[in-house]
This record gives sequence, structure tokens and C-alpha cells, in this order.
Amino acid sequence: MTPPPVSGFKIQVFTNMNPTPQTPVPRRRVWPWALLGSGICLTPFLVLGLAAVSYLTLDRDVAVLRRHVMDATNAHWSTKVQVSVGRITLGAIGQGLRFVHHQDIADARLALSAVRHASVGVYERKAGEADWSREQLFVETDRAMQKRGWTRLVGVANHKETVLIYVPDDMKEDGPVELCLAVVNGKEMVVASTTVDAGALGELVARHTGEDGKGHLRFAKLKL
Amino acid sequence: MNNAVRSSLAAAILSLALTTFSSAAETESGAIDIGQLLPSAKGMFVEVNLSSAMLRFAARIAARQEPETAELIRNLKSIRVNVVGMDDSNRAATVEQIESVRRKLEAQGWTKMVTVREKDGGDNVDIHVKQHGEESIDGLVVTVIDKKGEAVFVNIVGSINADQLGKIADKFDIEPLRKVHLKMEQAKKDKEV
Repeated sequence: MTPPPVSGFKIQVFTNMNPTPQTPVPRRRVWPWALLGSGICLTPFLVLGLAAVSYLTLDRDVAVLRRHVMDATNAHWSTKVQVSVGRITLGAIGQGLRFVHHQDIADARLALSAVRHASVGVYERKAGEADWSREQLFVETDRAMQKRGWTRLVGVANHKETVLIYVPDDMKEDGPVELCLAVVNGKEMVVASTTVDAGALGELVARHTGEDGKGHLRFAKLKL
Repeated sequence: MNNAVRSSLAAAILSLALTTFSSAAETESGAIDIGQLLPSAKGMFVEVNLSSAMLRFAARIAARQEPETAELIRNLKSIRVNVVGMDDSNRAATVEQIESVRRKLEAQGWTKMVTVREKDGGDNVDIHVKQHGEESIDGLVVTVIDKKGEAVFVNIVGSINADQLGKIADKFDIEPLRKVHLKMEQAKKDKEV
């Protein structure tokens, strides 16, 4: 039985004379916090870096098209411009255009709203022959694009330039249209991929064809 | 002996596969497969292949301003256009390709609606149609070897009636189509009489 406490004193009675084993105080681990802190600091730079890379590199399909066109032309090309923009960026540009005053700004905004995504590269020929086999260009790019599920919609070649336009095999009738194209002349090459909305494009066409529907839509006087 | 049997079997499988592949390219009754035309070294080369989905997309764009044209486009299944500039490197092969297409069309029961043969190496035009009853066609093939040294091949697949053909001919001022339309109308009248 423990004796009653005396006022002003606290009496502790030890019944066991052996010292109790003391548990070691856990050492504070610093490195997870340091890692977290540096992660938080680096994340914005990483995001910005990834954004910059995504802005400055081409989409996969158009990159494949570019590579095969470059190989088929058997020339050395250097990059002049390479940029990819998505819906958010295009939307932001569209909003920015609200503050621009120009007679054709409405058309520009409509054209911009028709495009959902775009990836464009412009290249300049630095070395190599300007006179390559167009047959090889068609065959090689067709083969490469077909492997990725694209079919050639248009192919044009004359003595000045070659134009190739591809669409996906599984193109949806109601949805937006994806296009992949390459234009090559003796000195320059342009490759692009884009997704275009039919509704906005139709409106743009309608604006430029007038009330009677003739004019620009009257394609050509086809005389055979 | 075994080798001979194996070879025969392989040949049979190969020919079956080729037949299947070639008929798959022409599953639509108005379609004709002419194979791959390749550009010459320097001349003009144009190839356009519009699938059904692409035509519907075009119809949606045209619908607002050109409802009749949009309706016609919507009924089409495919359009193929080839323009090949000919030079010494590909003239013989291209002309032979066009001629073989004409022979194939006639062998398959297509009706030759228009023939143009100009003297002294002038224009050489044939228009064949795959008729579906009296008033509509399932396909149309235009083959041209012109005096400028270009070969043209056009294959339009899909249901087109005589009236639509006439409207398109007038709208886009395509004289050979106008002739096809007139011949179809004439055939219809003859049948009625």
C-alpha cells in the first residue's frame, strides 16, 4: 500500500531496483524531406520542360512521315521551325485574337476554331541531290504510313513539288478529320498533322462561297 | 513427287490468295481496280482517293451551300482520280494500263457511253458506266489519253441517278457527263416507247 502524499512533495516509491531499458530516440530522417522539397521546387521546371518539349517536337505519326520523306529524298535537312499546339493553346490564341482588330479577324478566329490540334515542321535542304525519285518517295512513305494505319488521300507530284496527304483508315464520318501531310520542293519541306472540325470548316467555306453557292465552290471547268 | 505436290499446293494457295485479294479490291459493283500508277521522272502526277467517310465529311461541308451536291456526294462510296504525265519512261506502260482497263470494263459488262477519238494523236476518251436499272448507275469510269501527254483515270463508285448526273454536268460544266446523261435519258425514252 502506498503512503498518502505529503503536501508540497511528491514521493515516488521504487519497488524495482533494476534500471528500465531506455528505448533509443528515433533519429529524424532528413533525406525524404529533402527529396520532397527539391521535388516541389523542381516540379514547375519539369512541367515547363515537358511542355517545351511537347511544343517543340512533332507528333509521332507526322514524325514518321518526316523521317521517311527525308530518307526517300536522300538529302540532309535542317530544322527551321518545329511546333505542336493543342486545343488549350489554340483556344488561348483564339481568346487573344479577341483584342485584335482587323477586317479578316472573324475568319481567322473561325479558322482557328476549326483546328483542334496542329503539329508543323519546316525544314531546309542543306546537302544532297534536289532530284530524287518521286516513285521511291511515294512507295516508301505509303508503306510506312500504311503500317501506322494511314491511307494516302492525295498525292501530287510535278516538276516543282510533291504533296502527300494521308487520312486514318478508321476515319469517323461524324467526328473531326485527322490529316497528315508533307510538301516537298527542291529546297524546303513542310510536314504537318492536324485535326479539323467539319462544322467550323463548313461555316468558313459557306462564308466564302456567297449566297448562290457558286463562285469559289465551282471547282473547275472540267473539259475532258 | 512430294516436291511436285508441295509446289502445286503452294501455287494453288497463292493463286487463291491473289484471287481473293483482287476481288476484295473490287467488292463494290461500280469499282474497278487498275493497280498502282506511278509517277514518271519529271511529269505531272496526281492521285486522289476519296473514301466513303471522306465523302461524307465533304458532304457535311457542302451541305449548307450546296444541298443537292451534298446529297449526291453522300450517296457516293468512293472516288479515285489519277492524272499521270507521260514521258518516254512510262508512256508505253501507262497506255497499256489504260487500254487493259477498257478491255476489262467491257469484259465485265460495263456500258460504253462516250467515245472520243481525235485524229493525229488527239484526245482519246472513253466513259463507261455500270448501269443499275434504267435510271441509275452504280459506277462510272472515265479514261483519257490526251494529246498533251497525260493519262487520266476517274472511277466514281456509288448510286447516281440520271437527274443527279445531269445536274452535276451542268453545275460543273462537264461536257462528257452531259453526254452520258443525255444517252441515259434517250435510253429511258426508247424503253417507254
